[in-house]
Amino acid sequence: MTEFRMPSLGADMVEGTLLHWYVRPGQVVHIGDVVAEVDTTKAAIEVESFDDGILAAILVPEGATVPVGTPLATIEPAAGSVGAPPSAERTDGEPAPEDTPADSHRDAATTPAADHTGPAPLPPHTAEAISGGREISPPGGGGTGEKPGHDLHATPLIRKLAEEAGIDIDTVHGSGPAGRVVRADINRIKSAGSSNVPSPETERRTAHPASTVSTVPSDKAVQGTPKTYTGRASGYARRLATAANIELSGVQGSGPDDAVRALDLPTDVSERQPAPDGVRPPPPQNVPGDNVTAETPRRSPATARQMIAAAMTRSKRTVPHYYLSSTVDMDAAMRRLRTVNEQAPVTERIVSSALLLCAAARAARAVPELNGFWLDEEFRPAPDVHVGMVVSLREGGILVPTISDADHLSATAMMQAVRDAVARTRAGRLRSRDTVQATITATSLGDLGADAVFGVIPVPQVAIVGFGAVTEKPCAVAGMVGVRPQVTATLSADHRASDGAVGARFLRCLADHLQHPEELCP
Amino acid sequence: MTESPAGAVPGRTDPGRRIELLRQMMRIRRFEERCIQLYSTEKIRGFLHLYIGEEAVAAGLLSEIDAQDAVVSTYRDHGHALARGIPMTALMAEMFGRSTGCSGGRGGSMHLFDAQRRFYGGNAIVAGGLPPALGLALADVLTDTPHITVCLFGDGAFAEGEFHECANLAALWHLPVLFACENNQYAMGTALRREHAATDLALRAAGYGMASWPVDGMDAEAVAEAARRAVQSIRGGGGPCFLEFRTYRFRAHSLYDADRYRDKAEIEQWKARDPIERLYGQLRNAEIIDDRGYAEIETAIDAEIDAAIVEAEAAPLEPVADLTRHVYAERQ
Amino acid sequence: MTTTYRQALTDALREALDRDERVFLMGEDVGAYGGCFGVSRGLLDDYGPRRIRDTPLSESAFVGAGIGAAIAGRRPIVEIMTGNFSLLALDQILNNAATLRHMSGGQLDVPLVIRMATGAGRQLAAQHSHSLESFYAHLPGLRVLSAATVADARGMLWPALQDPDPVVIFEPIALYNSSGESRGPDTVTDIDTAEVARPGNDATVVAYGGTLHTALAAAEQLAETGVDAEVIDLRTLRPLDTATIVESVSRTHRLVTVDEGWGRVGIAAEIAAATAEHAYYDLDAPIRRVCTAEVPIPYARQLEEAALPSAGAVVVAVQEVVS
Repeated sequence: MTEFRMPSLGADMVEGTLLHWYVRPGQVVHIGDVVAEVDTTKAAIEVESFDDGILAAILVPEGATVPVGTPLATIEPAAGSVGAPPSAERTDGEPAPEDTPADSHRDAATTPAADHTGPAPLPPHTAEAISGGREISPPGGGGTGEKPGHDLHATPLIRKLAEEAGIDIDTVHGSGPAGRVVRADINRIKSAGSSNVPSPETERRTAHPASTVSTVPSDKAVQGTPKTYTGRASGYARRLATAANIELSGVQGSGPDDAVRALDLPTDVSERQPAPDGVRPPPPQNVPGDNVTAETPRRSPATARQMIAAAMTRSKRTVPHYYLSSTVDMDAAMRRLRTVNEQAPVTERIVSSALLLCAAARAARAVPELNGFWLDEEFRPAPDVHVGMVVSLREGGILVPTISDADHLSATAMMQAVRDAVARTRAGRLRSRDTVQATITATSLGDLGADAVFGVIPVPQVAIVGFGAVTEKPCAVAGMVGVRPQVTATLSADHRASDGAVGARFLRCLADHLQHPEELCP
Repeated sequence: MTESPAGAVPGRTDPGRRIELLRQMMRIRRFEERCIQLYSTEKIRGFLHLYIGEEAVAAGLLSEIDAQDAVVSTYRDHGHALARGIPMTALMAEMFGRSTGCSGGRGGSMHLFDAQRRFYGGNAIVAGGLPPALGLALADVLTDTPHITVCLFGDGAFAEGEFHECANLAALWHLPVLFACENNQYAMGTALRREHAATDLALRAAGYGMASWPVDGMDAEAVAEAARRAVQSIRGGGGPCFLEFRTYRFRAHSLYDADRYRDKAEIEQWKARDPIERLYGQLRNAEIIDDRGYAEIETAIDAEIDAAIVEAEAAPLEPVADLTRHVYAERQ
Repeated sequence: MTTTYRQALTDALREALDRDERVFLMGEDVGAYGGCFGVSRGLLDDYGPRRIRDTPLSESAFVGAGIGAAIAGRRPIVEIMTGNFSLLALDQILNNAATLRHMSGGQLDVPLVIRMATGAGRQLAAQHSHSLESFYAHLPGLRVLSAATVADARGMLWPALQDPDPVVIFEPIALYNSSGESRGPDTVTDIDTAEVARPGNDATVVAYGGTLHTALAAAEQLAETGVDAEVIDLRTLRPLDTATIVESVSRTHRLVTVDEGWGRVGIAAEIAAATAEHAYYDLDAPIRRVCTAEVPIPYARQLEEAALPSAGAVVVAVQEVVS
């Protein structure tokens, strides 16, 4: 008895929706047979069985969305099938393991992982299923063997042939009716010795024809195998990024159609100089960094959305966040800004968020436990403070340009940097200095009126600072109720790297800087 | 200045030479007949242009030149190569594509080479061999060596511009070239009269300023006689000569050819002039050879062919690793 | 010493005729006329009609004769007046010169040198302005050279004559009257390698023949704007010295190819492909080709100029890849 589980069809796939069952309980299935159609939010993908046998029970109904690794159905060895002797014939006195492979080709990954805490697979026709499911009776009740109305890309036999030949059938151009893959197509590829290189898209779906349902949480899989970057980048940039372990999706390209070029990579990425251990540049920055503007046909908003979704999901699933918030008196700061702005031309006026960023950057310098990266199970402080600034795009989505060496900027310089970065970001024309790996991130939703924002930490950074709107609020001033401009500063931090006390120190430091605005804004 | 085809005057050549002519023609004929068999069982591949019927030209012409003279052939080159003295084992191995072949298996049926014997190849481009033949002759001129170059080609090549360029240049430079035109009446499927407005090729060649005459190409002794005269003239500094050997191939252009363009009666007419039967008949009448002698020659030839096939079958194939050899000189 | 490109060719011919009695020259108008471009002026008087041979207008015959003479051990230098006429001998060059060694299983050397004038720029119109180097560089069995400098005009012939394989040397018509530094008889060109004509760091510009000077002029203009272009003179079009190109691109990360031939399926394309194959992980910008427009060369001057690769076009291409 084996389980057929929700397969991982992409590194960022955490769950799937079972759209359609092509088989019914009692039906014989073979390795390679398409048994179900699963929606991965990217596409509906047909998934295949990795076992021979009889479909015993369906555990998840059509329409249900379940995490990767969830048992979807059970498969019993067919009587007399090779490789799965009936237990009665066993002579070694051992009970037949329930997950005996029904076929020697079966991949180890089909075995439930050791830490799998799901239910034991049920014998067929058990009324009570665990995981909240019941055995699903086929519509019509009798398993009429009705064919799915779906036009298959290839018959199960052909899929099996392809699998045996090590060919990823999804990459095969079918020459049969309606583009179906037929035996001749498989033979053609076999005889050509074609490597039949899967497209990156396919690669993410099924890295190997014989890939199996993975029970490993997908984020672990991600750490093990970096995702193929499918955006535009020069070969040289790719080589440098690979050597420096930088994920290109986190880099904004300045080339044609936002292609990443060497100059877009962090300045410390130099050729033939592998970074010394300990200051290895961080791996994937999980904030979508390649172009998600509507200007680029290659990246649909939906794709950008998915990238954000994947990055944020990974952060929330892997990073234990703790949250602090602090209300900061902005009276002195706003006065200073008024004074400065009265003497400045309109184009050079400084807004409060520039001042807030200055304060945050200096606080990050003062509290290095929050300025750096969580890598390889340890915190690595960064030597400089580069603040990632979340910019929301008009067409939806976000980009995070970096303000380099932000802790050394005056409010005037910060304002200029912010203004430029935002303009470039919204124009989809980021430069290499905008894409330096940030060491800490700041987000401000004040201009949209939010009081406070608790951000999601961009992995592998360990903290994100949030600012709400600077608004006049009643407050206690010297024992009296007064009205003063205030802002709620928040901190979301990685509890693996620091504890609440550190975060509190950071917010205090930030608030102190804002009480001495003349230092920030000379 | 042309003459009408003349047969050899009986008794002009000594009996031994005459038997050798017969034997050479039989050898060429049997070799090719066996090649057809081998082709049908896929031992030999590619094109196979058969010389059957034209043996008198190769045997007669090439028996009259020296080892230091050069020969440039065509894609119908088996007969030329055998008559030139290239060992049959090397030729058969080449047909089999073996590394022991006369061209190392690189050439096949259409590209038989033997530099040692100054046999400069079958050339698959119609008239393609003529310009290099001029160059070979020019080299002899420049080194003041008395060799000649025999350049074989067909009636089809006579229509190519290259022939006319070469005829002019050879005559202009007085090159020691023997233009040996094997006029077998057909350029593949196109009959002579459908290809040439004036079909007397020897007459036309004479217009370039060189001695030209037609020869009965179905008579080995007539061929040898004409060749002897031409070679003498060329060696004597008379410049190039043009011989038009009027001959006929009994089989189709190649094994790919359905041969639908020739009248069966016409083929039979020419077969009645089979050069082997003709010479054998003359030698038997002159009591120079009898049926038994003929059979002995046949047996010996068959043994030679059998041995060549056995050797070719057993010969090594060039390793694929050597694919890119022989494109450029292998520098030490 | 400074001399003209034409004189350098003549010097090289004389040197070869003096050094090796197997060498002879043949072609249309090489003797009594002194060469269509005056390269062989005076040679007939000095070496006689056996070695300086005027031919009829029959490219196939005399090129093929060169092939035969080479097989027989001579060292013929065959001059084809201009590249367009070489098409009349293309059959001999491809089906004999380039293949005889192979077809014979390695039995035959073909130590032939073919010289031909090439290129446009003199309002000679469509049939007399071809750059057909790519036709010949396409053929295994040939070595194809392009003499872009006076030094190479002087220094390429002798090593070409030492090559046991057929060598085609292209001489850009536009260069015959140009002057430059000629090396002495003891300095020969290394015909296996390309030459870095101008070192630089920002972009690799690969050119050959007449376009070398276009590329060098462009490099001068670029230098004024602070862009330091490296210019490579291919010199040998087959075999292609990929190593020199790749080494340069690995430093500059950018490639612009300049070719007076048409761009489609041409030498510039071959260089681009070789670079993409061998230096993909060094390229930081798309490869740019600056080639002749896909049009027969027009007669009218302004149109001809517009059709041909110009220094300005090279400058623009380099600026594009370095921006």
